[in-house]
Amino acid sequence: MSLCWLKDKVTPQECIGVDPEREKELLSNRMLRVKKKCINCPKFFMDLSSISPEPKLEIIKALPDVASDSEALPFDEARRRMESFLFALSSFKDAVDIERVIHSALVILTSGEGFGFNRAIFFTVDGDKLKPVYALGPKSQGEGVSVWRYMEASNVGVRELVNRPEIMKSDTERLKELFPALAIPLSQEHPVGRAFMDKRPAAFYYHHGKDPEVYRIMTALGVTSFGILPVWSEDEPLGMFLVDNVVSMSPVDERRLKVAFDFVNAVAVAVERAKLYHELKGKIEELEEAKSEIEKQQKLILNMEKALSLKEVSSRIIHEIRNPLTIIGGLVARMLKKGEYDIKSLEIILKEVKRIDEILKDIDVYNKSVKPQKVDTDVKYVVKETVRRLRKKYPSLKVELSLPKGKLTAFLDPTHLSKLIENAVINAYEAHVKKGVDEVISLKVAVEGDRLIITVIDRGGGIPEEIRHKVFEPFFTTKEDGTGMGIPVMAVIVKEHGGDLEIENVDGGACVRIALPLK
Amino acid sequence: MPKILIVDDEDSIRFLYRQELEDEGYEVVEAASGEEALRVLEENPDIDLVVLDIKMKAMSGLEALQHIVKNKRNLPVILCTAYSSYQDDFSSWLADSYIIKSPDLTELKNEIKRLLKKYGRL
Repeated sequence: MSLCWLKDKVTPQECIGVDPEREKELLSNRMLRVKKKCINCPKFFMDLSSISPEPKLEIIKALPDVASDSEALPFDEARRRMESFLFALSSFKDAVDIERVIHSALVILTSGEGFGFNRAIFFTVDGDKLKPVYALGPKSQGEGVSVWRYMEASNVGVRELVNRPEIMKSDTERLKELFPALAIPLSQEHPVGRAFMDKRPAAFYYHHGKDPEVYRIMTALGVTSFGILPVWSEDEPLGMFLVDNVVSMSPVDERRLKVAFDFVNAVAVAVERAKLYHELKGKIEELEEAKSEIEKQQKLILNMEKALSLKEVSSRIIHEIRNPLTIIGGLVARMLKKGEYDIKSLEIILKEVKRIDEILKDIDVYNKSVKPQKVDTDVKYVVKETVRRLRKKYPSLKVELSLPKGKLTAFLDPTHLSKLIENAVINAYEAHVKKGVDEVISLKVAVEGDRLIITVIDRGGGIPEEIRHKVFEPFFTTKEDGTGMGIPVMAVIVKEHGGDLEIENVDGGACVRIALPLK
Repeated sequence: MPKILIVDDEDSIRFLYRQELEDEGYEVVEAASGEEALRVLEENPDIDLVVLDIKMKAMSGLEALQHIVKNKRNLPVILCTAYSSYQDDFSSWLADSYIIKSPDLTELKNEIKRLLKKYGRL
């Protein structure tokens, strides 16, 4: 990096601030040059900002004594300008909003503290063309209406301007008329397009107007000179800045354009980052949506899809029956060997036989549950009958029934419906008995949209964390004489009807929610 | 007289085993769960062999097995189960023997005898 402001002698190419015709002596007089030009030069500011994270006022102080020289800009003014520039620079370095980035860039290109072009227009890549989208500066020389006039009049500084992108919007609105004429094809055929494809800055002057395409652009802009600053990221075109001096009508200074190009490359990085940020944000939003969907599904604490396959069920059956058989066989063998029987052993044998019987019954029901025989069913009647039967079987059963008003018909298998209610209520009852509480079981029937919703709530302490995932497994049970088929059977019935089964812990107990389609 | 600990959550199984093993001349202690088994082992350091059921309600037999092996290296354990597939679970290799439950207890009794001899308790 050439630090022109540290060199005693500079060439006209190196220094953008000095007029080589009229200010020749400044090229070889560093002290004067710094006092008069550097402290007001965007390259100087940019160099400073890339040297260190913050502007080092020490560097300024190390420069030839500025404060005392009346020819130079007052020190405070210089410092203010530099701070404004650096502020604008840092604001877009951190920005993740592309509009904000572009806006800050336009401010820097057009402000006195910056590159001082009268007007800057940002083009975006749209298909195979470059099309203008944002502008900062007046519509024409005569019009003179622009934010800059406003700023001069009302003393608004660069800092404020950077924070007010709506000003860019109003200039953009005014210039919109010119935009159609300014579309530039990304092609080698077009003189401006070609320069863009070269990825290098280019200045266009009066004589270039011989080419009809250039002429068209100059006429639309109302100038005889403009410069372009292509913005590329590796091999991908991101956009382009076009600058001109529509107010002063002075030709675009190529050296200044070159320094502005360095600046614009930094914009490319910022745009990339902004794009990346938006992409990531989009992805993060997608992921968060997916995550909450998953969490919603997990709220169905128990996934009823877990109803095991037939193969798994048969191996479990084998296991479940083996225990009782071991006991029966073992005890019988003993008694035969000893040549005598004992009452205790016979009682145990009988108990185990009953146990096998229960297992087989439940397997039977489980199998039968697979094919529902659907008919138009009077739901309220089935519910009331089931509850009546249960109350007879379990005298200490307490159920609070809540049914909707009027007739309720659903197209389903009434036996299965009864079994669902029976299993849910018995589970609730047994939970109460186990916990030793004398509580009321709440059984509620309702219609939600096109579904029949049955809810059974108990106060039996709920399902412990460790086994929550197991309650859908056939033969899984924590009860002394349980068979572990209650919930699996419910799951199969509900599944065959195309409904949903949810089991959740609610305060002090569990809530079983059965949803069945009405038709 | 060797002391045997029977761990199984089924009362009837424990009842049957106790009868059979006491007939063989062993002293029998019982536990109905993995946790209880560990407690009983603590209280009875003179236990010579453990017959352990795998599928139990809370702490699984395999878990209990790992605890037992960790604490008492020289204690033979027979895994006794109605499943036949646990032989695939490597942690079952920690046990000295693996028996599938059946109405015929001969195999179990033979294994007990073999292991007690091997560990010098007989």
